[in-house]
Amino acid sequence: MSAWKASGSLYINACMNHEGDKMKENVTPALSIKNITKIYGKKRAADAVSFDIYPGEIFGFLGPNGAGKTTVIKSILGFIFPDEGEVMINGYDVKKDYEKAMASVGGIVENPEMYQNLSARTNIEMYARLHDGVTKEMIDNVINEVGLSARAKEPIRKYSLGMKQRIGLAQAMVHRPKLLILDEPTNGLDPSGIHQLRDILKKYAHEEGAAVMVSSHILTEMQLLCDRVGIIDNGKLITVCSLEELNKQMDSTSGYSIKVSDAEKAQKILSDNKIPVSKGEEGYVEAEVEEDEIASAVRMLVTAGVDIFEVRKIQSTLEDVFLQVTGGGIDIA
Amino acid sequence: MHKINALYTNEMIKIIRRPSVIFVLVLLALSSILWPILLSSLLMMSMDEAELYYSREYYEDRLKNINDDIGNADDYMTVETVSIDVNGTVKDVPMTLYSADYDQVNALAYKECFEDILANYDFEKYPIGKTWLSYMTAMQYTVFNQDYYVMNLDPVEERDAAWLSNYETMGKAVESMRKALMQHEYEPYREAVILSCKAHNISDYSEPENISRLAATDPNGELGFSEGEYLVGYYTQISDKKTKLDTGMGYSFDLPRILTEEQKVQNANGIKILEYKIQKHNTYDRISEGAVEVISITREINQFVLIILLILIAGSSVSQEMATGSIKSLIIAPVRRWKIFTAKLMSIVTWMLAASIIMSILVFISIGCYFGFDKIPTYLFVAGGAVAEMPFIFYLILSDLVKNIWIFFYALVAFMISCFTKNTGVSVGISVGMLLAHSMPQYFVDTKLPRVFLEFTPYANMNLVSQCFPYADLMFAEQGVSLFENISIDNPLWFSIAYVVILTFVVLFIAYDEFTRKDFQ
Repeated sequence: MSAWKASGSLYINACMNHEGDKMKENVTPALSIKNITKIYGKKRAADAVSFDIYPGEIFGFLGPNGAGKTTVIKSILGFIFPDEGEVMINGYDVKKDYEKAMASVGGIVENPEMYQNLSARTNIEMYARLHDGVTKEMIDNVINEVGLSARAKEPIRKYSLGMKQRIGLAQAMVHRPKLLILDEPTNGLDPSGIHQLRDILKKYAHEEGAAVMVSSHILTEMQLLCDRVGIIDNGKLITVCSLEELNKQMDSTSGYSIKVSDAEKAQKILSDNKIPVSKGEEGYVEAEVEEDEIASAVRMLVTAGVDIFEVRKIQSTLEDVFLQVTGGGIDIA
Repeated sequence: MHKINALYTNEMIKIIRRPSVIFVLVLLALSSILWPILLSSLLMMSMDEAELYYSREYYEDRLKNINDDIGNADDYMTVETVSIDVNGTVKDVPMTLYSADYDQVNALAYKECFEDILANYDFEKYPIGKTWLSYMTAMQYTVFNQDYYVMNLDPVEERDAAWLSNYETMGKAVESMRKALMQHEYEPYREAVILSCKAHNISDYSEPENISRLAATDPNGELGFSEGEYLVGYYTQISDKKTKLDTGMGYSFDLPRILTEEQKVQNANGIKILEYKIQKHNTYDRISEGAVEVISITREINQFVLIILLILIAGSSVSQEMATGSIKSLIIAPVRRWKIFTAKLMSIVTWMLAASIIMSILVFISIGCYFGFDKIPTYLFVAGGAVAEMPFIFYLILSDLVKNIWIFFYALVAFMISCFTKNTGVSVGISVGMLLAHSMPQYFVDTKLPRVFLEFTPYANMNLVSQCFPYADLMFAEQGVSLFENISIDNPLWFSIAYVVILTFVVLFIAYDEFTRKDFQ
């Protein structure tokens, strides 16, 4: 981790282009928020947050606890009224054309809370009744899609958290919204459930062309799922960056971790040869070298009598980026 | 509009599927069906007992008990000559003197009457209790004789000319009443009542006039007891209303009040209705009266269950959704908040009306099955100067709706509070508390402030039954007594309606403003 920290600012520099992909310039964003600000007392829970999400992409929304993620999501979905700013959904201004804008949105905020005494199917039917054009087949299909057809007639109170997440997702998707906003959707899901969710969302975004916004604190999941991420801290959006771009940066800036018989001696040898090096875990040194330099570095150590037990490339993760950007205030599941 | 319909449908589904609502609904249905049956059973039992009254066996039994209680009357009863000063002349009068207490003297008076009736009355010809005349004369004979005996308890030194005059008049009244009983005639009865009034220095007494009117329609004394009671009741009410119209004064909680124009019209219409009832022989028996009595009590009991049901529904309408988070699926839907609010309000109002109407219908069916639907009277009112009849079921439904206005209002208050809090207990609890304490400000205003302020207290203007159905009391001979009597005011109906409408609007506006501008965290 320390290896990339030395050059961590590169990630931010590489991602500061909030506009995201230039190739989407001519596409109407599924979601466009501009300068969303929400103030509670003296605290600015959201401070001039702006970003766009485009059809066909999965957007990860990251931030530590209290960073303002939920405030922004609730502002988008009409739960709270922002003090300033504008929310456009599929080209409709939420303030002026609320119903048209919200007709193409589905979402889960925090946990999928439904009517406990009613069955999953009734819950979805009730929600579907509020949307135009939702057929019985669509309800059947979406319940089937989340794998709960067999238990759809049971009341929600009998459901586990994971099942509630699934049925919540089904409800959010029943009207096939163009914008799907999910707050911590993997909560309570087992590994296979998470895998299934990932498949559903990817298919939904990449094949059906919907925009998906996911907020989660499970960063590895976000890395596997998202096309772009936005990181928010203290109410301010710090960066928006595509995963592709980020991966390139993470690959290019990585170093090597070497397990040696004498770490102190190894550190001194490499340092004397002007190779950036730092102490890693016990028995390891971390050398900041490119792939074509590692062989000579190893040779130096062997020649100097240091035994080598393992040479491993350091892979930076989204978590590293997140920690660096937010100053370590991470909430890891 | 279709979005509101969809939201409304959802709201109704949510409410009907809540276990607590189902429980209270079952309670309401049971209360509407079982209370009438229970109360009716008790009433019928007491009616069965009433059948035994004033039979020969009744008198024999009472006489035996009296003899067992008082023992030998000669031990404390002596007949002596008492000298009384009459206008300066001493008059010697033979008189019974007692060394006994009030109860023993009463018992002696009864004993004398009972022995007389058993020895001389023809039970076969005029069974006592079967006709109004026999029942009343038998009862009044013992009462008058009791009065006569009790006059002998006055200290001898206090017996002056006036006393002697009253005493002798009362003696004649007893004799006249005995004659009315034994000969089964109205006229001696009327005379006895007049004599009794004279002996007791009562000037304003409508009973002799009522007896005359009865005698005119029932010269042979064949009128049944209930029918006679009703007719006498109607006559009394007519004369009471006439007096009010003549003087322009009425009474409210024993305080004289000047009649409003509305009240004058109601009194005039009341006379029309009563005359109509007399003309149509619109008199009911005790079973009819019992049926309506049971309906009245059941309505009062059901109100408590209705309060629980409606406050539970309204008080949790928003707060419970906020507490469980289910409000999210409403907010996230493509419907504006005012539509959600409207749908919720519509569902609450639907439940208010439906619960009240279903309750009325169930009570009516229950009573009808038990007493017989033909025993349930109609509601009479005046429309276009003529008396009209309304079937009781419609009267019951409408009057229940009016009667429950205050419950509806407090349910809306509960709804308003539920828009402010996530805690259903708070919204329901505060509303129930306000409801239970609603009369306190009224009593405070009544005792501490000028009476004009009373007209602006909420509950005073929500008790509109007497204003909307002013002739309900005329259904029977005697005015029913409400279990929840309140301070009455003389506000005109339009004022009360305007007051309720404005207050409701204010409550709903506060609720609306909070719901539509609130941040749902």
